Amino acid sequence: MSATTLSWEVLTESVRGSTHVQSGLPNQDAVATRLLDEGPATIVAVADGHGGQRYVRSDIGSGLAVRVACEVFGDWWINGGGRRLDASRLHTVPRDVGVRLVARWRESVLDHVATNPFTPAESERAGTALESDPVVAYGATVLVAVADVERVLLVQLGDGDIFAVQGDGTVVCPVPGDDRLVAGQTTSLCLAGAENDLRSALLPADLSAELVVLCSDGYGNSFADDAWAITAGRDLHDQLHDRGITQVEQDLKGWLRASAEVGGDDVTVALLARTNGARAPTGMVSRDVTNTRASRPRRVRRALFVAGVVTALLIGTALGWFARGSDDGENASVEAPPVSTGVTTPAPVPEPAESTIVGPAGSAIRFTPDLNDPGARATGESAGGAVVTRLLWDGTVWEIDDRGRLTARASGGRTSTITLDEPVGSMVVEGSLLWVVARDEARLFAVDPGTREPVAAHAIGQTALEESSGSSTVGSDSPVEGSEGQAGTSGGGQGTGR
Amino acid sequence: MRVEVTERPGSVLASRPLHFVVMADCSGSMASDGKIQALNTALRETIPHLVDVAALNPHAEVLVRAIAFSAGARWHIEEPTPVEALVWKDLTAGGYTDLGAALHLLASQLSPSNMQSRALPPAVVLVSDGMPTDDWCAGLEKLMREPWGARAVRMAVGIGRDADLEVLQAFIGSSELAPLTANNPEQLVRLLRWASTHAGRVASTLTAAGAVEPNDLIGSSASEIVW
Repeated sequence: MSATTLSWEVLTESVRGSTHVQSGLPNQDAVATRLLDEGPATIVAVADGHGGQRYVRSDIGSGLAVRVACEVFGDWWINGGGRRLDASRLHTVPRDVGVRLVARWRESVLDHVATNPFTPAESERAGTALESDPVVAYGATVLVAVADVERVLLVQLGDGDIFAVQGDGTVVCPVPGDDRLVAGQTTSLCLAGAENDLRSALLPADLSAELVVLCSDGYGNSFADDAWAITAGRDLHDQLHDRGITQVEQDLKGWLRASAEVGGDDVTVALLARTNGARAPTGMVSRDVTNTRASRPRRVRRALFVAGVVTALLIGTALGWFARGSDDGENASVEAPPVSTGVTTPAPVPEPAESTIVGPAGSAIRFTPDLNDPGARATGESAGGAVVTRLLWDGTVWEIDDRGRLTARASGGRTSTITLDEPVGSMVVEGSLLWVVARDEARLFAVDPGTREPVAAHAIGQTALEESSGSSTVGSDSPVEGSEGQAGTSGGGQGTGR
Repeated sequence: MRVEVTERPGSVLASRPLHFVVMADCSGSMASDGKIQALNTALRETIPHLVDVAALNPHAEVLVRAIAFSAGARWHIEEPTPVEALVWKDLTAGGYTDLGAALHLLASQLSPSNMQSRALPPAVVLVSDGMPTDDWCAGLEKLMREPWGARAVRMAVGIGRDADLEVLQAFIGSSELAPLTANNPEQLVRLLRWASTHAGRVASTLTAAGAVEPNDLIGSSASEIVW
C-alpha cells in the first residue's frame, strides 16, 4: 500500500465557427473555470448558445450559463451538498442544484434584458417579438464537471459531449443519453422545467479515469466518424502522455480551428487531466478563474489531494504516467499529504483480481471477470460510481437505451441488438468482455465483443446484495443463462456463445 | 471537404452531410403537355445551382437523392450522390399519384438509424401536378413522426392548375411559405431552381436564414399559361 497526491490540470479553448465568421456572428460558445479550496475542487463549465435565428443573444446566454454554473455548483460544493453526493443520489441533482442553476441563469438573463432592451434589429432578425419570452433569445446548453479529491461529478443539459478516458485508453460516456436529442434538437436552459432535463454521472477516483473531456457539439460534428470520441479521446490521452500538457496547450487551438473550419460551428473543448502532482502548497487561497470567452488556452493547475489509499499496483499502472516532465517512479513515491479535516477516506480498493461495476440502482457490484468463475460476487455498498449506459470501445459504440436494450454499433455502421433475457442498466469492460448488469441488479451478463453474443450470465446473490458490510461475498453460483457448460467450459474469456 | 492534420487528435474531419431529396410526381398526367420533359429539363438546370450552394457552404456536403412516385413509389436515385457527381437520368411518366407511398419511402430513410447524427437538416422538394391517389395523410404523419422528417426544410412546386395546393401546403407545413405554382416550362425552371437552392441554403445554414419571397420570380417570368 502506498498513497499519492493527485492533481487536475484544466485546459480550455474555444474557436469561432467558419459559418459564424462568414455571417458575422459571434462565437456563441463559452467556457469558464472556477477553483475552490473547499474540497478542494475544480469546476469547469462549457455552454453552447443556440444557433437558430430566434436566439439572437445566445452568445450572451452561454456566457451567463458558464458563469452561473461555476457560481451555483461552487456554492453547492462549498456548502457540502455536492461533496456528500454519491451515485445512489444522482437523481437529486436536478432538485438540489439544477433548480438553482436554471433560476439563477434566468435571473441573470432578465437582469441583462432590463438594462439592455431588445432592439428593433434584433426582433427583425429573430422574426418574432422577443419581449414576451425574453429568455428564449438567450437559449443555451451547458456541461459541467466538478472534480474534487474523491470523484468527478458530470452534469449535462442539452447537446454536446462529455467523455472520460481510462488508463488503458478506453473511452466511456458516463452521462446517460437523451433520446430527444436528435435531428439537431436539444433540451435547453431556456425551456420550462429545464432542471428536469439535467443528466448526471459520478466518476469515482478509483475508476481510473485519467482524462475528462467536455465539448460543444461543434467538435464532434466536425468528425466524419460517428464514433469519433473513441479516437479523439484516445489521441488526446496519448498526446498528454507522450508530449506533455504544455505542448497540448500550444496545439489545442490549432486543432479546434481545423474542426471549426470544416464543421462550420463554434468549437469549444475543456480538458480535465488527472495527474500525480506535487504536494499542493499550503495556504492556497480560493480564487475564481472565470473565462467566458477564451481567446487563448486557459490552463488551471491545482493539486487535489486524494486522501484515500490506493494500491501501488493501480498507482503504477493507471495513474503514474500522467505526470508531465517527470518520471513515474518519482511520482509514485510521493507520500500522502496530511489528510484534511472533513475529507472522507474512500474504502480500500478490493483485491486486484476483482472488478467493480456500478449497478443501475447505484450498488457497487464486485465480480471476477473470469468465465471460469461460475458466479459473480456482489456487495450492496454504494461506491459513488458511475452508471455507464454508453461506452465507446474498440471501434464500437455500446449503448443501453431507455428500455434496457443493449446495442452495438461499429464505426462502419453495423448495428446489432444483443439478445439478453431482461432489461439491463449499466456496463463495464473487463477481461476482454463487456459485463452488463440487469436493471434489477440480479444478473450480470458477459458479452463477447467479437460475436456480440452473451457468453455467460451470473446471478448476483440476493443475500449478498442485502449485506452492507462492504466485504465481498459469494452469491448464487448457478449461471442463469444458457447451460452450466457455457459458463464452465468457456475458459480464457472465449465463451461458446449461444 | 476532408482535412487531415498531422498529430491532430481524432479521425478524419469532414463536412456535414446535407441530404437533398427530390420527390417527383411521375403520374400519367405528367405525360401530357410536355410536363415530364419540362421537369427533367428543370431538374437538369437546377443541379448546377446546387453545386453553387455547396460551394458557398463548404461545411456542408450536398448529397442528392430522388423519389419517383406514380403507381407506388421508388428511388430514382437511391444512393446519396454528391451533387458534383450527379448526372440526371430522365424520369418517365405513367400511372397514379401515390404521394403517400413516396412519403412513407422518404420517412423510412430519415429514421435516426439511417441518418448520421451530425447531418444537417434534410432539404426536400416536392413537385406534383395533381391530387394524390392514395392515403397521403398517413404518409405525411409518418414523415412528421420522424425527427429528421419534422426538421426537414420542405418546399413544394405545383405544376399547372390541377395541382392540389392544399396538399402541397400541408407538406410544407409552415404557414409562412406557400407552395409555388408553375404554369409553363420557364416558370418551372425558375421556381424549381429557387425552391431547391433556397431549401439547400436554409438547411445548410447553421443559423436559419430569413425568409425569401419568391413571388418576384413568378412575376418576372414569362406570363403565358401553358399548364
